[in-house]
Amino acid sequence: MKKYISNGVSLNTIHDDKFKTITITCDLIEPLNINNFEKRALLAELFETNNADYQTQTKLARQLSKMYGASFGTNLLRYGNLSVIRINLSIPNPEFIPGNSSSLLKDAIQFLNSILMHPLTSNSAFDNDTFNLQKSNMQKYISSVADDKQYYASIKLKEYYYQDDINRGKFLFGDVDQYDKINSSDEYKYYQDVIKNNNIRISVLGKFDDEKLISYINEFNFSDRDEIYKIDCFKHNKNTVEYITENTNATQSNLNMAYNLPIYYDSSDFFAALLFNAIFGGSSQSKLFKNVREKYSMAYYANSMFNSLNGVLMVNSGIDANNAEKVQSIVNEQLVSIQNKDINLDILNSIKSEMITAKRSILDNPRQSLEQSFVNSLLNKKWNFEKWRKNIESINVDQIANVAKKVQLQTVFLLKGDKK
Amino acid sequence: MIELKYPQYNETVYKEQLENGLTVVVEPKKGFQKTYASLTIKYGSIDNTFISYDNEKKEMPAGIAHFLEHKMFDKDGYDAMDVFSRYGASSNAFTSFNRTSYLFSCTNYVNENLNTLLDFVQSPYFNEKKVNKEKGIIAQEIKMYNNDPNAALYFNTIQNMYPDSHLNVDIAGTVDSINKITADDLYTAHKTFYQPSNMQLNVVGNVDPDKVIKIIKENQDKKTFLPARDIKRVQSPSKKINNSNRRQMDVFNPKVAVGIKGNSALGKDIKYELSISLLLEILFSEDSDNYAYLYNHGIIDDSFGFDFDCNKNFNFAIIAGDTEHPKEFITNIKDILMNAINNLDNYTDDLELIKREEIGQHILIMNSIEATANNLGDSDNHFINLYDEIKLINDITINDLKEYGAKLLLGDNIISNIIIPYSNK
Repeated sequence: MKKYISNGVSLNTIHDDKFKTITITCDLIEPLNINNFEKRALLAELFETNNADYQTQTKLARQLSKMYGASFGTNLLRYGNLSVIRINLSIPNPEFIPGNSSSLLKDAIQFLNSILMHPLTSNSAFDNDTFNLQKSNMQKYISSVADDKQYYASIKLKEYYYQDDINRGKFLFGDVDQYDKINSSDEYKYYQDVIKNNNIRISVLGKFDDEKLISYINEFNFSDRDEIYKIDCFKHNKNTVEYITENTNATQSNLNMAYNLPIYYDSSDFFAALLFNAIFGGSSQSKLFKNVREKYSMAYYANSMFNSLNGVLMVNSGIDANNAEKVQSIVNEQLVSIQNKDINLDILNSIKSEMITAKRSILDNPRQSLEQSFVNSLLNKKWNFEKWRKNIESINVDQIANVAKKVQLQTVFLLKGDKK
Repeated sequence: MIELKYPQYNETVYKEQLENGLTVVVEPKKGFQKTYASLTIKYGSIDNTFISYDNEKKEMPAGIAHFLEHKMFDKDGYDAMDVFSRYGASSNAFTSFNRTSYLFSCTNYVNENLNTLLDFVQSPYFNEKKVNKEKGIIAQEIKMYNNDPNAALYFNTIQNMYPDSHLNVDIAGTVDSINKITADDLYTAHKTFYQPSNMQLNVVGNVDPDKVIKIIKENQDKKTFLPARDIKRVQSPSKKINNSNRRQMDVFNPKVAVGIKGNSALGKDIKYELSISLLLEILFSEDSDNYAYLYNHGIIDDSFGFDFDCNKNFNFAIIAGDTEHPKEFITNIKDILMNAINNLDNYTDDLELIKREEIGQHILIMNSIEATANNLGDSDNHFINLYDEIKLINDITINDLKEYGAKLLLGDNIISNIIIPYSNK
């Protein structure tokens, strides 16, 4: 069921009796704007920390335990040109807990209400102690990102690739220095804007009563939003290839490559692009796995990902620094072989079967189901498994080769480990 | 076939041991699309010294169980992964300190996939060329873990708790040790440990348990196996401990871990495992005053976490996080641990709250086919599964926490381990 609570605020429910939990998601959506990155990241943290109803982190945590180990957390996500704060909450279905606490869903929605609508504030500002501690923790987190070399390399690749669209390229949690410029009343102003103008989508999956749920959610009193935000695709328009090497004190090197692949979720060759990616580096049957890893023994992982909102293909690998050039040429050979239609039909069919299995399996996972339904709603797509399956099955080698011909290398980022 | 019914959760677990010794546990999950199966061998990185099936004492290079796991997929002219893939299944495997597991997940062709799983794990095929080729791949895997400071902190802490045992090397071994592995070594390890009597097959998903058992029996009946022999691992209990350790890595802030080495004789007692897990939750979860104090004083941040790993032959707890104040981190955590038992009487309400939380977390496991399959128990713990655990958790009292806590929290089995940035000399 999909119901509009107010203009720009919707409630989506999916009923599924097989799960023993009720999974709740609340997405806050606005266009990416680098001027807000730090404030937005902090807001997601503040939501997690406390509020006027649960004034300390301990009280908030204890309320979650009271709700039978409800899991709760926030994520900051990027979909094309849109920025999403996702609040995740899930509770056991009351049927399965001792004493059958039937008020549990109501408690959980009220908890969500506290998080969203009743922040801990004084004098039109977030509580200073909470704000300062979370700000300093966020700065530490950002400074520590380079501890994880794989993650760091993927962040840097995006920064270089999206130089012309900094909203898509910049690290979503912002810059350490920028945090120094924000105070708790700036943050509160931003919060008010978010609550007033962000598009909001609340989704609930499991076994529950719609009418009761709606009555709980009506208590939020959401106002109408002026604007409804839509996904914009990214068009890349560079012709030169950029090579960047950064040195680091590490035992392994990370070679990451970005290619322009101007195919989008609504393109006629979208399904061919999905299969191209699976054959190139997106599965354990892929050419990158079979060659960079199995044939040449040069990596433990070497894979690719295709993003149909930004028309980009990205390759990640962990290798020895002195193999960097060799690995680049092996990766390129795989691309050329697909362009030349060198695709084993048995492998193509296997990959199709695996993709169909993976798609069907989404229904077994509440979070993945909600994610799929969220993306479809952003893209205004009606999703149908049988149609999807037929589309995948219909794709042939020629179509995949044609996709491969559109792939253009743009950015190569090598995080070079110089330790033996 | 034994039927274990859990009407409160509408679940039934089926269990049978076949004639050749293979244990099969099946849990049907109505309404789910997927079927997940895992074939687990009681063989891991610490089982490095043993009396082989042919009665010879063997000291294997570190990392051989994990190396064997990689090489099992590689068959004469094909890869087992490709066979699964043909049936739309995805397959994987992993090795821990004391287990090797092979698994697949599918939405179709369950019979074919089960046969593929049993066949590829039970038919060894190795040669020197294939073994040597794998060394480059695993070397990169080892370097990937070595590059990850959180993994390094975790494994280093364990190594310092058990410096005189096979726990003192990473699961995958070292680049040097894996270079010594030969095809003969793999055959010896396979023959010794991959006996049906040392294996358990769990199947969870959209299946009929009778049919699943029938398929598995038919598969096993077609094969001949050597007579089952007891597996003799040569290991003496670890006596040494390194109380503090520090090393440098490319990190921004120091990373600190406090490790508590448990008495290995207690690991088989499920009540010990559950009591200690609850005790650690009371002491360090976000519900606790300790957490609030440490967090608000900037001694811990959101990276803070803790874990209790309890097995038949070893058990330890690790409490870890990033911190700008490593000394204060260690002192505070140790203080909390050493005063824990005396303070427990004040925590009766907290225990009830934490029990609620744990029960909720167990219900969450029931949602996931994979997590359910990984919590069905085995012969090391009398097949206590996630449903049995809920009952046991309900029964645990503050006195259990005191009794078991006192056995774990002894001053001289607590260690600290620090990773500091290079710049911070």
